[in-house]
Amino acid sequence: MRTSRYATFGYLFVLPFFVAFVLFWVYPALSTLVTSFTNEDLTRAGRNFVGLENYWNELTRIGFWRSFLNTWIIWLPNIVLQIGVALFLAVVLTDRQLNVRFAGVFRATYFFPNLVTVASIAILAYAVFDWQAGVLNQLVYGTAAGAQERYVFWLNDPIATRVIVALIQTWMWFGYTMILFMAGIQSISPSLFEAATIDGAGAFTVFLRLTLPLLRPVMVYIVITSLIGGMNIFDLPWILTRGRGGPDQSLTTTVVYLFNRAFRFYQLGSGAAVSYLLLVFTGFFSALYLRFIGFGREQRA
Amino acid sequence: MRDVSKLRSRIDRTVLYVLLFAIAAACVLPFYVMIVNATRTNQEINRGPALVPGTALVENWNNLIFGEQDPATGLRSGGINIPLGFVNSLIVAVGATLVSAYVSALTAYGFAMYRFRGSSILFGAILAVIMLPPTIMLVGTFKLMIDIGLYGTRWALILPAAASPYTVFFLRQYAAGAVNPSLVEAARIDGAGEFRIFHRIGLPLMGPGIATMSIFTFLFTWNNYLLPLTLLNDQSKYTLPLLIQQLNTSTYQRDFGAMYLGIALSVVPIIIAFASLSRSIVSGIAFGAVKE
Repeated sequence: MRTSRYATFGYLFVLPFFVAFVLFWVYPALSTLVTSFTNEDLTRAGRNFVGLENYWNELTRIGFWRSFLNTWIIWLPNIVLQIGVALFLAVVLTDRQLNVRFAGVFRATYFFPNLVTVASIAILAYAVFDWQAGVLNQLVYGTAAGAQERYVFWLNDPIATRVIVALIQTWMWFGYTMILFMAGIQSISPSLFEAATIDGAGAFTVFLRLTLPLLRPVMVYIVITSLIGGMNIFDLPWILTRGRGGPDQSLTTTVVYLFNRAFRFYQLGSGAAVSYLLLVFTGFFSALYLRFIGFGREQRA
Repeated sequence: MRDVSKLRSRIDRTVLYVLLFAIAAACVLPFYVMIVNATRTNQEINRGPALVPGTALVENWNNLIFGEQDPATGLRSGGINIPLGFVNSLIVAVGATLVSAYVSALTAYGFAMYRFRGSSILFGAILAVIMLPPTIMLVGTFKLMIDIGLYGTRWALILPAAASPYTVFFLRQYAAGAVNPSLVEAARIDGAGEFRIFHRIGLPLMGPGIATMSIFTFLFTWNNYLLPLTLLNDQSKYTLPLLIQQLNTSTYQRDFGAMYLGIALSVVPIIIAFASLSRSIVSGIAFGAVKE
């Protein structure tokens, strides 16, 4: 059946996809790139090419770097915590000797927060961490008369807001990461674990010497996709701060900054430049990470 | 000695289960407290979280949907039309899911069943963009939708689903395993056309794979915030997340009962969907990490 007689049908079958692909992926990506070299502004007609001016302006603007730093301050603790918790749970839930009951129920429950609309979670967080009627203050300081005086204005603290966002991100994503680790562990041949146990290796040694090295491809996938997603975080900080970026702009992440540039100050050119700077930085850090862990080196050997 | 180690391992097990249940509680309790608070008055909410529902559900509903009541005139104003947002989200998510399912299945079948010049390059192009952050298209998509007249319409959120690279990637693997070439060959001998074979044989055999991916497309579109925020400008077309977001910008920021109800209305359908679909969702996720 795989003869050239039917080649025409191959093209016909994939044609609708590629029409949409060019229109809705390739063209917008290129159009953003072209726009980034112009001074296009929604408040006036026409545009001129300004070369690398937008890029230069952004790279010399404190606001841009601060937003980039904010993004990292949120992402880094989140990914470390997320991987730690997920790895531990994945090992525990797949361990044959422990044979944890209800493992399937735990797995599904841990994953659940990931499915909920971020907008809903942001408003829920807003209600939980609210100063006067928030659940957190009520739990920590009680609701007796006078307790309100000690209530903390969590969402008005530059450090607390970032910690809150990092923790919510961890809460939303550890279950997803755990499922990936579990799938990775289950794809390891059981005979390897048996051999290690017969050789007298303890549970921790097995984890360190066997499980962890064999999970490396999954780990790479998790770190890279999380890096891309984390660098592009928008919904949560945006809604939590009502688009204002929070106290001391502590929750102005790069995409919040980008969105403000492009759609609040109408500077499409400069917003487009920010999106490509973010792409370059994300690519750079992905490559740095892959190099750091020596990915691809031993495949060649 | 043996009894001691047995006891020790039993304690270890107990500690482990307590930990596992505590983490599970952390994933579920916030939503439970939210649902309970949706049924309580603001005075009750101020008294701290509770596990037993209150009786103010109807009042919160009226405050949320029709707005706060003016004590002087008895009239309500400034409500947020959550049911309309529901309908809008449903239209957009169902539309995007149908478009994505059909076009992706067609494409995946094409790649899996036909050999044609350039097919590996074309498929490579699909793989290449899977890892690209969608923000690099944000400004371009905004301009494109204005240029082709789709800005402010639901089509702007539905049509781009025709190009879903990850779904094609998934379904190509699926089609290669699920559609037996000899069936296709037999249908050809019987004189069936290629598209007829796709619709009668390929599509049904790819059904389970299409269903799994459709769950993800639906959830992604249902939950999406940045694109509707950028591409819609008319409150009457707003999807649920755009309306939910208004709960802390409008008067509701001090009416917590109504606010909790608003969030609960957006979360409960997801709870129901997850309860029935969790198995396919979990297996669909694991695919990404292990197949690459």
